[in-house]
Amino acid sequence: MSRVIRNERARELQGQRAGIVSRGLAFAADVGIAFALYLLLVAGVNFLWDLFFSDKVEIPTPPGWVSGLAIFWILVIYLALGWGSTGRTIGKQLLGLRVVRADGHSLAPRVAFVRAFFCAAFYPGLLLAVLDRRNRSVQDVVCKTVVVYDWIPEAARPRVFPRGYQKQAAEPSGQPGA
Amino acid sequence: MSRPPEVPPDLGAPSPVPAAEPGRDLVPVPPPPAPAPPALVPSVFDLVARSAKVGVDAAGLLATEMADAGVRVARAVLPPAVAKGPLDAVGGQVDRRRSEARRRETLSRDEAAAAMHTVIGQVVEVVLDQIDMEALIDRIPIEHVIDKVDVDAIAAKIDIDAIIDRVPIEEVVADLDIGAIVRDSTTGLAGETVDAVRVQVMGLDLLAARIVDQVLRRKQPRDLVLEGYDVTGPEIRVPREMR
Repeated sequence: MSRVIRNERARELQGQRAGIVSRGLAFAADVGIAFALYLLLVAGVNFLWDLFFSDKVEIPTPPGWVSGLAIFWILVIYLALGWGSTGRTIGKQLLGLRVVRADGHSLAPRVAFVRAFFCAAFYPGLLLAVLDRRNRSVQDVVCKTVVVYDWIPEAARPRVFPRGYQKQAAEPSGQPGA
Repeated sequence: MSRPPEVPPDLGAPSPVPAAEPGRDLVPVPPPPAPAPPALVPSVFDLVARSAKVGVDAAGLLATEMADAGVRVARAVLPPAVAKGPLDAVGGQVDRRRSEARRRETLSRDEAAAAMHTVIGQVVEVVLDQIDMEALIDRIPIEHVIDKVDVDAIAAKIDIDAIIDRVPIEEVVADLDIGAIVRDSTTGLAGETVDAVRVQVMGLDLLAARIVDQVLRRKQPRDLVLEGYDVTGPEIRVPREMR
C-alpha cells in the first residue's frame, strides 16, 4: 500500500460507513459537475452548429425543462459510470468515499444505474442517512449498497475474484476482465 | 492689436528667394523656419548667472533663518512684558522675508537645474558632432583581428566526445526514479490538503450523527463497520456470471 494516511481518526474510519455531511457534499459536487458538463455540451454543440450552418456564433439559453431533463440524465449516466466502474464519482473521490455492495464487493453496472437513477430522482432520500443506525440512505436500502470511507486508490490493491471463482479465472490467460 | 494682420509674422514680409531666373530651379525654395526664440534656450551664460543667483538666494535664506533664530533666542531671554511688542513686529517681518527667500531660492535652483540640463545636452551634441565616427571605425583593424582568430583551430581543440564521456548520463538516469517523482508530486501538497478537508468533513459526519443520536435518545452507538470490506485488502471484482 503506497497511500499513507497521517490522521489517526481517518485511518480508523477507513472502510466504515460514511456520514451525511461527506455524502451530501460529494453529491453536491457531482451535481455541479453534471451542470458543468451540460453547459459544455450546449456550448460545444451550438458552436459546432453555428460554425457550419450560421453566420455568427452564439450560445442560446434552452428552455428550463429541456435543461432540467438534460442535466438529470447527464447526472444519472455520470453517476452510473462512476459507481459501476470504481465505485467512485469525482465528487466521491474528492471526499474519499466509495459505493460498494453490502457484502463489500463492487457494484454491478445494472445496480449502479438503478442507484444513480434513484439518487438523481429522489435525492432527499439521502437524508435518511443521518437517521439510520447504519448511515443508509433510501437508495442504499433499496439497492443494498453501502457508502464507505475509502481513501486508498484501487490501483494500490491487488485485484482478485471472489473466493469460489478463482479456479475458473486462472484458466483463461490474459486480463481477467469483469 | 492695432496693426492690420496682412502679413503673417512668421513668414516674413519680403521673400528672400528671388524670382525664378532662367537656368535655375523653378520651384521656389521655402524660407527657412523661423529660429526659436533665443530666450527659451538657456546658454552657458544663463547657467553661470542662474548658479550665481542660487548662491545669492541661499545666502539670503541663511540670513533670514539666522534672524529668525535671533528673534527666538531674544524671546526666550528677554522678559515678555518688555520685549513682546517689538519682537512680534520683528518676528512677523522675518517670517515674511524668510518664506519669500525660500520661494526664490527654490525657484532659482529649479532654473539653474534646467539650464544645467540644456547646457549638458548641448555640449554632448557638439562633442558627438565633432567625433568623426567613420574615421574612428576605419581605424579599427577588424579584418586584421578576424584574420588572426582561427575558429577551426579552436573548434578542433574542443573534444565534444570527451565532455560527453565525462557526464555520467547512465548513472543519472538510473538514479532518477520517474515514477517516484510523479507519485510524490501528485500525492504531495494537493493530497495533504485534500486529506485535511476530508478529515474535517469526517468530523462533521460524526458530529451530525452524535446530535441525531442524542435527540433520538439512542443508547447504542451506530453500527458503522461494514463486514467483509477491507480498504487495504485485495480489490474483489465480481465477474458477470456471478452477479
